[in-house]
Amino acid sequence: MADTASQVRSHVAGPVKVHSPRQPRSVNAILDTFFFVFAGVASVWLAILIFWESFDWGWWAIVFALAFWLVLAYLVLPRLHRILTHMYVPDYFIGRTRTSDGLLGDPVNLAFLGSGEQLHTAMTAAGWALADDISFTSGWRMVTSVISRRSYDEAPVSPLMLFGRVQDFAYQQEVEDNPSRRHHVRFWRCPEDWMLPGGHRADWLAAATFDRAVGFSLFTLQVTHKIDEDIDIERDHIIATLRASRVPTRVVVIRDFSTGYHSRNGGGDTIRTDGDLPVVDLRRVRMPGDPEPLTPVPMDEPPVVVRGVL
Amino acid sequence: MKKPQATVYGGALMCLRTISGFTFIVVAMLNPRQFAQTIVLDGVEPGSLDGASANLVLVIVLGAYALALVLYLLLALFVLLGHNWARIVAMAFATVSIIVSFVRYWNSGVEITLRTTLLSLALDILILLALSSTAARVYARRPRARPDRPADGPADGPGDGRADNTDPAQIVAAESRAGALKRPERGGLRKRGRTR
Repeated sequence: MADTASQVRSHVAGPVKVHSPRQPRSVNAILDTFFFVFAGVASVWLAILIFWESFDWGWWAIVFALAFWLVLAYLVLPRLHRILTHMYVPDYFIGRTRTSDGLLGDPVNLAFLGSGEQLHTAMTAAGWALADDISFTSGWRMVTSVISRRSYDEAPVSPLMLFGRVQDFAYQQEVEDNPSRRHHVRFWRCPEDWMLPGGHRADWLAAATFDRAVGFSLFTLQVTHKIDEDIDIERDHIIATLRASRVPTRVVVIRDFSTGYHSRNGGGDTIRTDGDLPVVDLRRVRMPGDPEPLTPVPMDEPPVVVRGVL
Repeated sequence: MKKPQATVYGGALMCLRTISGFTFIVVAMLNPRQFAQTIVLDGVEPGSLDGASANLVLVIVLGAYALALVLYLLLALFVLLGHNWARIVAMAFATVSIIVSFVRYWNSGVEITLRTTLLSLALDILILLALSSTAARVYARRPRARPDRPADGPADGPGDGRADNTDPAQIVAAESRAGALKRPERGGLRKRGRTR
């Protein structure tokens, strides 16, 4: 994010230093970094101590094994990933979101033009439910619904980061009334005047994947949703639901926005994509109070396919 | 800016550590002779002294410990209120305590088990993890309202969560947030330690 801004600055005003001279590394920042890393090292020691302790307690070893996993999955590994990814994962836009531990997360595979209200109107009309914010209550309800297989239409989604911040909101569709299987898509508002690589305009970026089951993350061993490998199906499903609804959309597909690739997301699930990025124009969605359009708005224009910059 | 869970957990764990300390004092007061035999001060074992001086030593030792615990509880309060100095002091204290435990474990082979000091060590490590997390750091270093302005600005204002008014990237991010449909923030803006 900061890198993107400094690149823009260097483009218009000549090279500038990334580190502003007015902001030397403060003692505060050095202390923070030290405590951050030291806490990571100390947590490794704690995990080892708990592991050894389990041998002294007979059948209670099961409890210690559980504690060991909790410490490892929710404290040690996230902190270690956080320290390492801070060093090697680029923090500017590369078409991928990042998990809260800094790992590469779900790919950005949709873009939208229009206001937030227009986006909400269109998604609701297309049969999607706004996900609840993650909190203790919603998280607990999520866990109990997964275990008891009760429906939870507005189940929260985990935070993913883009532009250095958590998604603004997320929409989802439960499958077969089972909260462990669902379509879901997260949205981030782009910074003002921000352009996609190649110079295309977008107001919102989105990352859509299909949760197919609940399982363990490969990288942190946490309990998480496993996603379907073919993320293009989910992307096309969202376009299809929007086009089937009664809101006027225009779709421009940027072919080969990223070259097709396969990789892993933040939970270690493999992903595969052809690299196309549909930009959905929702600017003609009428909001309450908008004047009647002079000419009838065509409802289902065929998608326009453009190529990236050659 | 909403208080992040990490800060709440950190403060709560500090309170828990104070409670465990007071429990220790109560247990020691109930069995003063037994406790006196376990401590050694300047090579003198209070357990071997006569009744009156042994009691005096006990009262001083436990009194000093109780005072430290009260100060620690105050520190926890300031951490919960979101003061950065309190967070740094609490983290420094936890770090020193962890290092002391480790040195004793490594050099003297002092066992760390659930029956001895594992619980307080675990609390120290958890406190350090919680308070050093990005969310807790961003919250403690958030821009404060100046006295000449209303004490609490609009909770969702564009300056909210911005730790540094001069970083253009963060201003962009904050402005885009202000334009977005608001949902309560989690974790706040991730700060890049490198740029400050």
